[in-house]
Amino acid sequence: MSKRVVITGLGILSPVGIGREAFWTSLINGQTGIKPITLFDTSELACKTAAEISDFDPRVVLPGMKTGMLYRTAQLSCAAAKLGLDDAGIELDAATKPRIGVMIGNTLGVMQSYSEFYRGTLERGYLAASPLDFANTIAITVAGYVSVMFGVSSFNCVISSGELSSLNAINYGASFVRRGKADMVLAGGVEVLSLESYLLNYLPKFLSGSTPGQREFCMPFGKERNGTVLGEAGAFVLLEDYEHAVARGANIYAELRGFGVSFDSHAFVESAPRSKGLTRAISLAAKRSGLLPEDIDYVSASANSSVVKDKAEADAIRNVFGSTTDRLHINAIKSMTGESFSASAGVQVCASALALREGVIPPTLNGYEQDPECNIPLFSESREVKIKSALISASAVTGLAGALVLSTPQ
Amino acid sequence: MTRRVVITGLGIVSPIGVGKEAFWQGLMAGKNGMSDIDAFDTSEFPCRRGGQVRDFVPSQYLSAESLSRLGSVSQFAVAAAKMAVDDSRLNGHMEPERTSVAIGTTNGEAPVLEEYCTTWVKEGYQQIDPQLIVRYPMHLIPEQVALEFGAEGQVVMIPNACSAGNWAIGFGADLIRSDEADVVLAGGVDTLARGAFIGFNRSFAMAPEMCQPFDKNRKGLMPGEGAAVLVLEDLDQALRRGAHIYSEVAGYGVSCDTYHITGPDPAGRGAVDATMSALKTSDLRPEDIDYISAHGTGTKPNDRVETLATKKVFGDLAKRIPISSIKSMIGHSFGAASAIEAVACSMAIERGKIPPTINYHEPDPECDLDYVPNEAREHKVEALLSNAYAFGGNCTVLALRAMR
Repeated sequence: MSKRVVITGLGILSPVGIGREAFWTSLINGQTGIKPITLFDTSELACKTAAEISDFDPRVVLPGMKTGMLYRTAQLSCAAAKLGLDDAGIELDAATKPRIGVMIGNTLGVMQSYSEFYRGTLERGYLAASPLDFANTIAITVAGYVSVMFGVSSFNCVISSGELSSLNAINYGASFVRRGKADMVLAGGVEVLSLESYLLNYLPKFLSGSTPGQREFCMPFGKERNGTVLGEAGAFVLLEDYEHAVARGANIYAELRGFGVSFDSHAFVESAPRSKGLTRAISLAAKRSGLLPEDIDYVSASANSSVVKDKAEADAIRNVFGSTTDRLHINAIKSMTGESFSASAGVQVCASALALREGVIPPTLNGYEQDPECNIPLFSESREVKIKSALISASAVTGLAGALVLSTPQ
Repeated sequence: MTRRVVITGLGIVSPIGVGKEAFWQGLMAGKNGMSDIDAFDTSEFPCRRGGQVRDFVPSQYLSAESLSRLGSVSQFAVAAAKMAVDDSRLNGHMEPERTSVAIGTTNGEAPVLEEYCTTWVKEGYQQIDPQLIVRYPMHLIPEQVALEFGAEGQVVMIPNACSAGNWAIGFGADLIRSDEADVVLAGGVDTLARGAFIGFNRSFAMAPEMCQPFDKNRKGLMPGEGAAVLVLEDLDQALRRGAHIYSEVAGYGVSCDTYHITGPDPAGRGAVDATMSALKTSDLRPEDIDYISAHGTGTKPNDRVETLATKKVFGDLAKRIPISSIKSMIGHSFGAASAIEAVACSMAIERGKIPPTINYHEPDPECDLDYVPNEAREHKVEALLSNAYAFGGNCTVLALRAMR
């Protein structure tokens, strides 16, 4: 009999708040984190806004830890780990540390640090490169710093699959709990905003407002959407063996159920996600959960105001849920948190875990006309409703699509 | 009944040969793959040598269309995958939804990022070519492999640096065991990147001339490059289609030190734990192990700690188990290293020979095991372990055994 895996802690740093309570209060009140960018100079860019974690200070979240040498991705990663462990009420001691693993979804974690290191060598010569800065160019240290800082030693691993990264990390992380290698795994995603990662999206004109004359506005499923608005986040959950959680009287948010993934090579070539991949991923996730589509109450969509992707996602939802689509509760929280790439599904998982526990579903921040081509029901004020199962959907421009089902534990 | 996972195809790009036969001949001959690096200007660096791939002809493996689309790192990965699939004779027989890809790396498409930085510094970031920079995100590498073979299952990059290959193979084997996939293309890739070359030069971790794992006078690692992809397949399917089976993926163990972000725990805690875990997950006993493929980077701390950890796990048996480092011949290809070592291990099981540790001249009292010095050896291998450790204290051990 396979072990059950539950979520017993949330470690979230988001543009709408640091920590579970601030995050949740903003979401259910429909407060956006999208603001003028302060992390870098935008005077020469056509786009000016993003969802930044503007009040993040590692010294506040991680008192007493030497985080000054870490790159921002690793700082956020350690901060999300700390918040997740605290939320779950885990005491780090000789008994727990070897039983905790670290599994982080991240794709662009070292893009800024590698670039800064490398530009430094071009501008000032290679002797300007310091060995410590070099460690900050190696992607595994996003997880490695968590292990070293907290002394948690079951394993550490990073997984990169774009917008799916957090779901892949949670699913793979859970497998180590199921096989008894760890009792607990810090799993989720992290991604930071930097000029480097901004340019990656800005230069190819993926961003809202990057074409002159366009309005810069994040409107998932909106009629006049014209691109995404970037965000950043560190969003971990503490996965735990169900029996272990019950034995220590832990507060259980949700149980992990099925996970499904699909890669659509046609979408990859065309850089245009189609509904096919996500339709299959959602169906697989429901099937592996032992659920029928009508058993799922809530869908946390990954829509991010992208012209092609949002439509494909709306179609996929309708393909799977058919006539029951209209009784689903669906939201797109990227309307408030922006597109945080590898962290984004982790943010959705944290929000969904809270929705299951609190019986409240945050809105899609509205104020724009919905695209009739995106034919799914949305709502603009948070809803109080008791739900049993939530599906988190994630899809990438490159044709990867995934879905994860969470349920209230029975 | 748990599904079993076997290796049925091997593809490799390495400094001592492209393709499994050239690679194996190089290993058996103890070929030194080190040369003066000319992939970029090294004139200002104290250490300039490394394992550069010299005889890779991309057009032998990739269409003109693919070549125009792929970064140099993806080219290595797709070429290695192509060789592996050809070797497995699975062409046209992979069910898309049951086929997955997992690739490991350290730096991904670092050359793309370096070109981006060069433009930024010389001309300003406004001049960066959008068509160049969109090639950077590292999850594109396994996606390019998936595209080539029509894989529609899980497609992931595991950027776990020097242990990434073992992780990718372990991840892939899990997908088959859990019945999510029948075939997984798993491996690792890295190319020589100027930034990493500088990093190791500045960390004083690089040897100037040669890589001498476990030798008393070892001076550090030698950077290398390459790619390896292994076809992992469900045993029943492989038997049904009469596939050639190199070895079985018996299990894998993972752990981590929490000692330092770059250096190993002097007591070898993570390495010991990962080895124990590999034995446990593969249902092997210490006395079953016939060969250990060492991480063996040639740095002072790694080789000392790896030896210590081996002795802690194997006790008196340790001195009787041959342990060698092919990094002495090909250098340290980082994210590709443990995937390349898995290819060497699979062939060692198939052919009953083990590759040597070359450049081994003077024993180190702290490294007192049988490192298969300088000459390949005839040796029947029924079961083996392959070690890989990385920054972040990341420790992995892959267990392979002969098909029974």
